[in-house]
Amino acid sequence: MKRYLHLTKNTYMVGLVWRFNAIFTVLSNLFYIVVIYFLWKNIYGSQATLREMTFPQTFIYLALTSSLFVVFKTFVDWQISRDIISGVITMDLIKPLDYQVSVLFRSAGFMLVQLTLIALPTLVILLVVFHAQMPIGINLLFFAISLVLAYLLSFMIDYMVGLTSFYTQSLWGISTAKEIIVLVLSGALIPIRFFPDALRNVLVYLPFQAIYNAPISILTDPILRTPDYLNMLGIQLLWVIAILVISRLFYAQAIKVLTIAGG
Amino acid sequence: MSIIEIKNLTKHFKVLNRREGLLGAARDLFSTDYKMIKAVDDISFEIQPGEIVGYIGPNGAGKSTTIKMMTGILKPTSGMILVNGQIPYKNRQRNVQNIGVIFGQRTQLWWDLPVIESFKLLKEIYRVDQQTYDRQMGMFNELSNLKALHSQAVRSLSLGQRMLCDIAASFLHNPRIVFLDEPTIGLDVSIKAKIRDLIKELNRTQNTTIILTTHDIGDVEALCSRIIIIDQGRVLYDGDIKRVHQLFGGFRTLKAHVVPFLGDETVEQVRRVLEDCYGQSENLTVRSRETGWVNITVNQDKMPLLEVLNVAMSNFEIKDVQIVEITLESIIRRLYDGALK
Repeated sequence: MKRYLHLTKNTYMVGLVWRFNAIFTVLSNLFYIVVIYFLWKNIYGSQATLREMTFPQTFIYLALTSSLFVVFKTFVDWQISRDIISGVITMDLIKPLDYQVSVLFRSAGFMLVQLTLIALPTLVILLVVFHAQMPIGINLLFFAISLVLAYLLSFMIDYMVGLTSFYTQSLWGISTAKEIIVLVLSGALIPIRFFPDALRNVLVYLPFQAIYNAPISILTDPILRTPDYLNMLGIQLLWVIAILVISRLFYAQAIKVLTIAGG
Repeated sequence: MSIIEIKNLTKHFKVLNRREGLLGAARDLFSTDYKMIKAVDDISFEIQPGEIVGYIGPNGAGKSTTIKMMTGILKPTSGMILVNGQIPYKNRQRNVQNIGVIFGQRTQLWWDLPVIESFKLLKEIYRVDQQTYDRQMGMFNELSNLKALHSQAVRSLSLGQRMLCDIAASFLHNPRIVFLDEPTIGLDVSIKAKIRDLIKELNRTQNTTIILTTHDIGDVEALCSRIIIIDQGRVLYDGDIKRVHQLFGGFRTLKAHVVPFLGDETVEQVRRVLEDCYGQSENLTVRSRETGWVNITVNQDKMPLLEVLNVAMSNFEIKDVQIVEITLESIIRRLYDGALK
C-alpha cells in the first residue's frame, strides 16, 4: 500500500508543476458556474420551487457537480490509451505492481491536485460570493465516504474506456460518448430530480448517478436523513464491487492482445 | 545452474494481410486473411550467472520479442523458458522483482520531477531497504557522479545523462538479471564510453547477469565475452566473441572518393588494378554504395590497408578517404556465407 501511495505523491508533485493548468481550469469552471447561475435563474423565473428544489439548492447542486466533474477528470482513459498505442505500457508491466492499482493511485494524485487547487477555491467562492448554504452535520462524514466511492466508480469507467485501445487505435469517439452519457445520466448537467419519474426510477439504480448525484445530494440536500444516506452508499458500494469485477475481467482479456499478439 | 534457460522457444504472430487502397481498407474490416509471422523460430540457449551476453541481430530479427518473453510481457507460442528458475509470464509481478529492464527508446524516470524522486519511488516499489539504497546510490555516484543530477528535472537532462540515470535506476534494486535493449542508441562517443564503463563496473561488483542488445559492434566488443547472433528468428551463432573477431576483426572498409566517377566502370577499374597487384581473393572486395565513393574492403591481417590505399592513389585521383569499421550487417552476411563452418 505504501508503495502505491508513493505513486500518488509523485503525481501530486507533477500536478503542482503544472500549476498554470490548474489556474485556467479554475477560471473556466467559474465561468461555467456563472453561466449556470443565470440560466437557472431564468428557468426558475418567479417560481419559488421546481420539483421541490429552490433556486439556491439547484444552483449549488449544479455548481458542485460541475466542480466535482472537473476534479474527477484525470484523463485516465487518454493516458492508458496513449500508453497502449505507443507501447509505453511495457514500462508498467516490468514493475512488480498491479497495473490497475498503480493507474488508480497515479490518477488519485492528479485528482487530489484538482481537489485542492480547483474544488476548494470554488467552494470558498460559492460560500462567500453566492452565500451558499448546506446542512452541516453527520452528512459530512457520509459525504466523505461517498466521495471516495464515487471516485472509484468514475476511475474504473475511465479505466475500461482506456483499455479499449487494445482493440481500436482511436479513443476519441468512445471517450466522448462516455463523457456525454455520464454527464447526462449522472445528474451532473440537470439534477436527477428534474427527470421524469419513470426515467428517474431507473437512473437511481444505474452507476452514473452514483458518481455525481449521490455525493452532492448527501452534501447539500436538507431533506435526506441517515437511512437515505446509507441507501445511497449501499447502491454506490454495490456498483463499485460490480464494476471492479468487470474491469478486472476486462483487463485479463484485453492484456492478451499484448501478450499473445504482441500489440 | 543456468540463470536463463531457453529451449525450442517459438513465437508466432498472426498478421492481417492488408490490401491496397480505399476499397482494400474497407474489405480488410471483414478480412480473415491472416498470415503467420515467425518472429522467434525455435531458439535455444542457456546463460550463466554473471555473464554479459551480447544478443545481436538486424532490425526485425526477433531480439525484442525474445527479451519481451524473458521479461514476461509476451507469452511464447511454444517452447520452454526459465528465468531465475521461474516461467516469466506466470506470476509476472513476483518475477519482475528480480530483473531490471532498459528499453533504450523509453524511460522509467518521471519526466516532470527531479531525478531523485524517481529513485525514491523505485526504492518503495521494489522494497529496497535503506542500507542497500544508500550503498547503491553511493556506488552510482562514485561511478558516474549522479549526485550532480539529483535535483534536475528529468526533462532537462541530455539524452546521455538520462540514459546514465535510467541504467542506475534499473540496477537500484540489485536485480540478478538486467536486460539492456539498445542502451547507447543515439549517444555520442564519449558518453557511450561512460555508459559502457558503468555497465561493466556494475556487472563486476554485483555479479549481475546482463543481456545486451545493440546495433553497435563497439558496445559488444567493449562489454561482452559471448555473443548470440540471431536473424529471422533463428540463432546464427552462439559462442565466444573472439572467434568472430578473429574472422572479421581484420576487415576494414576503405571508402575512397574517386574523380571522375563513372559508376560501375570506375568500380571495375579499381578492382582490376588492385587484383593485378594482390590477386583475386576473399580478402579483397570492391563495390560502390553511393555515387562518387568506392568501398574497398580488405583483410588487414593479409594486406596492409595503407599499401592498398597507396596502390589506389597512384592509379586514380582520390579526393577524400574514410575508414569504416565492419558493421553488424556485414558480419551477418558473412555468417550466412558460411564463414564459421
